[in-house]
Amino acid sequence: MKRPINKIFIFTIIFLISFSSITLIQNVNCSTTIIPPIGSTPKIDGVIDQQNNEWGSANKSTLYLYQNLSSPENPLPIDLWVMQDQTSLFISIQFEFDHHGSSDYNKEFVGILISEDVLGDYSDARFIQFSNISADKFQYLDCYIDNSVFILDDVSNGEGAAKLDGNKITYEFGTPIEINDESGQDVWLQTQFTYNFSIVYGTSAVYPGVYPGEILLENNILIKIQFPIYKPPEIPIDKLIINFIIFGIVSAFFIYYVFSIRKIKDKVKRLRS
Amino acid sequence: MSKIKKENQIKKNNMNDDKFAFKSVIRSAVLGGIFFIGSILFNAEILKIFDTSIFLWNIIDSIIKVVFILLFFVFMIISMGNYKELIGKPLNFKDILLLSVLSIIQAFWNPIVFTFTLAGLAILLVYLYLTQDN
Repeated sequence: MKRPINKIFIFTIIFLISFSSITLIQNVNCSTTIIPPIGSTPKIDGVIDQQNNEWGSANKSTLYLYQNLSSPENPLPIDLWVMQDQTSLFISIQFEFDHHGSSDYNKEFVGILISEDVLGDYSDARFIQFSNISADKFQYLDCYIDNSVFILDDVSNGEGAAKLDGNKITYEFGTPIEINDESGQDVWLQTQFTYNFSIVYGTSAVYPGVYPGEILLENNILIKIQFPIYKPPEIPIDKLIINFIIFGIVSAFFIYYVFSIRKIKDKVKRLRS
Repeated sequence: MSKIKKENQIKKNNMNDDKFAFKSVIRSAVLGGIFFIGSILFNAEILKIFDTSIFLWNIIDSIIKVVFILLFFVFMIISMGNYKELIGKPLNFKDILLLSVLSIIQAFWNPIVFTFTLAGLAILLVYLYLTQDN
């Protein structure tokens, strides 16, 4: 009786150790994965329209940006909104500084660096770079990261806007997901995949430059793109009409022919009698 | 055999022929109708068996569509031929042309199906013409 109990006990311990090891390995990777909720398309204008609940369905959280992620000190807390619609992923970042409209922040930028995997090998970068923050003059830049060098894309993907309101600034990004042309984006965002996004901040022009270069603060998040909501295909009315005409003509002929057979059936019956 | 008996026998044989021809009209028309329904489902693209870009499946899809149209044509021409025979008229050129047009327009959506159906109909018509001559 004693041996089987020992075996069961040993087996249970081995199982628990293996299970906890797997859990530990999974948790080592990165922070919690954000699954962006599906919502209505927001206007990328650097304004979070509270009245119309523009970002109401977004996943809202507070993220801390650090100078050095390995020794996190003096964080900059930012409000982060993440949501998506059928075709795009939207990220909004909001934070404030005292005297934010001053010349110290004239060339402020916020960017999102995107990695194809969860490990953070960033190859795509989107920046909103101010040239004059008090005059609301900014530029949206879509870059490719080649050996840590930011190279501006020939065709800019997505959109971005920012607006300073008092001391509070809002940055908004829109990035297309699952567009047909894979080559069109440096990182092709697809549904059901998880990507590492690094949110970066700086006060000097980031482009032209290198990574990390002018980046002062950063932190990363994982975003798992959701399955889009099922959209029933539109009924092709013109095709339906053409089908109705073509097969209607053939059906009319067939029905007429069946009636003719019924008539001849009566005739044959009369002839037989 | 007496003359009356012989006439009765001929009458009986004719009646049997009519009966057979009539049955053939109905059976062929029913089969033609079944293949027509199949043709509506596949050629009007109500049913899509192989919704893929793989070349082989597209070929099989086209073959199924062509076969349904050609079988509709074959059974309808048999049915109409026997029907015309019952009313004592031959199947004329206009009837064949009408049936051919009604068959070919079913392949309207797919140029490959259209081409192969046209070729199949041409082969069938040549075959029917030659057997008729012989």
